[in-house]
Amino acid sequence: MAGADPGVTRHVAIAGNPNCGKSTIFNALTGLRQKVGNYPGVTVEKKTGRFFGSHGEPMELLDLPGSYSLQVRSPDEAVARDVLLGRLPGTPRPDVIICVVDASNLERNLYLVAQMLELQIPVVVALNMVDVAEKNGAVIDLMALREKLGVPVIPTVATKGGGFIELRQAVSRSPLPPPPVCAQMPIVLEREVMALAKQLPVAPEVARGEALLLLTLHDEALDAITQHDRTIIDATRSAQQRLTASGIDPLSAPVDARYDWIGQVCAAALHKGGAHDATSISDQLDGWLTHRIWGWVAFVGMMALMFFCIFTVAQYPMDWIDAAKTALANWTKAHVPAGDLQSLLADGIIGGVGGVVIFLPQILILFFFLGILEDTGYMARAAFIMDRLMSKVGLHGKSFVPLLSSFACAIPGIMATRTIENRKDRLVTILVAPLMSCSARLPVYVVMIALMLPAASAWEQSGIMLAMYLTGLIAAFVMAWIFKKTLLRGDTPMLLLEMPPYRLPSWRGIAQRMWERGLLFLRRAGTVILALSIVLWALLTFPKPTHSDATPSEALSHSIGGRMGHAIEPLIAPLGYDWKIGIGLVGSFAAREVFVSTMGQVYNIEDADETSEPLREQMRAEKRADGTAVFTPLVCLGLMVFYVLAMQCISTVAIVRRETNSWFWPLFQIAYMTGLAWIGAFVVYQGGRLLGFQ
Amino acid sequence: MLPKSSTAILTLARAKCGERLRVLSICPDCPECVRLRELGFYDRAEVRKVSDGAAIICSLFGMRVAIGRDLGEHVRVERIAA
Repeated sequence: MAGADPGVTRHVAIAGNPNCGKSTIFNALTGLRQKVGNYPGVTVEKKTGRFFGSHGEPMELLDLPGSYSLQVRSPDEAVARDVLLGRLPGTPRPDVIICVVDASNLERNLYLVAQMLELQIPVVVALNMVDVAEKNGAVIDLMALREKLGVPVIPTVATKGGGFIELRQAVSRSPLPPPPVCAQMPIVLEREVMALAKQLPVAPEVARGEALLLLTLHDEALDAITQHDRTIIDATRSAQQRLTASGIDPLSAPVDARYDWIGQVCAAALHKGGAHDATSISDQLDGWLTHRIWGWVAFVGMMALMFFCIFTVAQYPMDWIDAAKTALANWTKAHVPAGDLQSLLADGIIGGVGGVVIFLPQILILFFFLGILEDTGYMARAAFIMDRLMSKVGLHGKSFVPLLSSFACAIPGIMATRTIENRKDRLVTILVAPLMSCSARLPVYVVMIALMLPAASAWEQSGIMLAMYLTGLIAAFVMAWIFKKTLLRGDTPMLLLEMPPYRLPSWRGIAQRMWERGLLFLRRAGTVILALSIVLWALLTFPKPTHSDATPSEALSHSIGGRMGHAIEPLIAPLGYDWKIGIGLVGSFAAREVFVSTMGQVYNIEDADETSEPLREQMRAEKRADGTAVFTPLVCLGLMVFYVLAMQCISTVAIVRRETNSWFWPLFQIAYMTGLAWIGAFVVYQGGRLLGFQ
Repeated sequence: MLPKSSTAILTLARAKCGERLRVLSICPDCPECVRLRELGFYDRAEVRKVSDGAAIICSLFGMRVAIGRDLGEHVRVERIAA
């Protein structure tokens, strides 16, 4: 097994239920020796890291996605199962599994342990949060637990670093014996399992586990299986029918058998202090935070605080990055001879890439808050609160989290849809997530609001900004409802959600996730934007005018970008836009935040950003052929609505392509969002004119 | 689903808040029911209904699970004497 990397002596997978402290143990064991990538063929994140055994032998640790069972319900859980069954190409079947168990919730966590033991891979149980269990009045007899499970059990307190030395020792012990099969299935079921196992074209050590998983699948799930041929599926169905005829429900019997075994284990090893049914602090907090009125008050308050920080606290580092970007551009202009190279470096690359890097503080603050909400256990409560609203449009409360993330950036939002079990619901959430107003839309809103209402107070400006956010939110809900009724028709999913107890967040873990996400954002968005910036610069620069005394406006009109602006003018004229706005729309097709800098290039304003007064003055003074202003309040409002509803983000297109594994959905998304944006801007402009507005 | 007249055996959705209940069976007609069972709502498991509203919050093994009322209708339970 350890052949993939010559230096590695063992491949170790770390598995466990969500919220059991699995990632904290992974981070503690591997430190910064981590690699983040993707499993080949699927979009689930693969986190691996190097750690060392008690004698310094290098081992590779794989952090599997959290799962409740090997009977999977989401893409994340499917990866965990496939790795453990050795089905994923490029990922060796682990030599050892560290199964992390939440000691304060032993019975439920032992269910996954029971399934792990059935896989015949050596298991080391990390009994985590023993301090919390003790605090709850539970006494765990370690000797009895080890004896009953038949595998090493190491007590750990991941948040305080307790038990890691013993855990390393247990994992590096050689050779670890395969675990005994613990849960006794009914004899009739066991006979069918063994008969089916013999027919499976898999390694003998996984055949029983694989057969058991097959026999406990629903009809629809069996139909969806692709890794086995029809004869296996038919054999499974026949076995299920024989079991049903003999009075054994193949779906529930293995679950009941495992819980019978768990009952025996806990009877011997777990002595409860009677705190289970007592009203805990978590219950008291839930009384408020899931209350039908106070729950909403708390939820809105927390969201308001998060957005306040995203849009105010982040402003300081954003200003610093902006200043650094300007200084770098000025330095380039001072040291590189005037010409195309200087223009490419200063305007194209530094301006373009800097325009994306500037959003990093907002992304980091978002992940800081998301980390706190996740770690404290509030995220499940937020999904619970939102479920009632989401179910009105046919979605699960879990769809709320990706939509919330999309307010900062659609990329992490779309990645967060992986926890949604139902494929259609996941697709609907992906399709509507970019309608949430992300931080890249902010510069457009700021410029347009300042143009529309130059004398407006901060409250009035905030009111318009809030209206744009609400427009996106309402559009997302309406479109989700339409998709669930038409293209992705399906029943509203039933709510089923674990509500983890409230805990103090792990600041180290949050910092590590912010670091990872920040790097990922810079790498993913930065590379795309860099390429786009160069392309955009070339489009607005070439071909050059034939006569040397051409004005910048004439040069722009002559460029490919200018010609594209002219070409789409008939299409955008009903929205009140001229060809120069057309250049802005074309230029920002791949990244909406580029609109402001493109308009800066169009109006020949150096260092244009959303706070640039010369740009606003130039845009305000811009006149049509008949002498009327181009940027009337209706045009500005229409442009904002256009940007609320339009896709205009190539990074999002790329991530949707990856997450859906298809070109159809991103292309469909571009088409429907662009159509929606055009209709929205048309209704605002033409409707406003009909009502007598300008 | 059970008729409303049934009192000795009822569904989780119809049980009162605060009641201690024993799971009798879960209708096996939806994928969520299998997961519900895996989360600990197996036959004979003891649960306590903590909160009732648009969704239900139950306590079992000291953990809290939120389930929709529609899913709660699939779980047959009986009351456990105090």
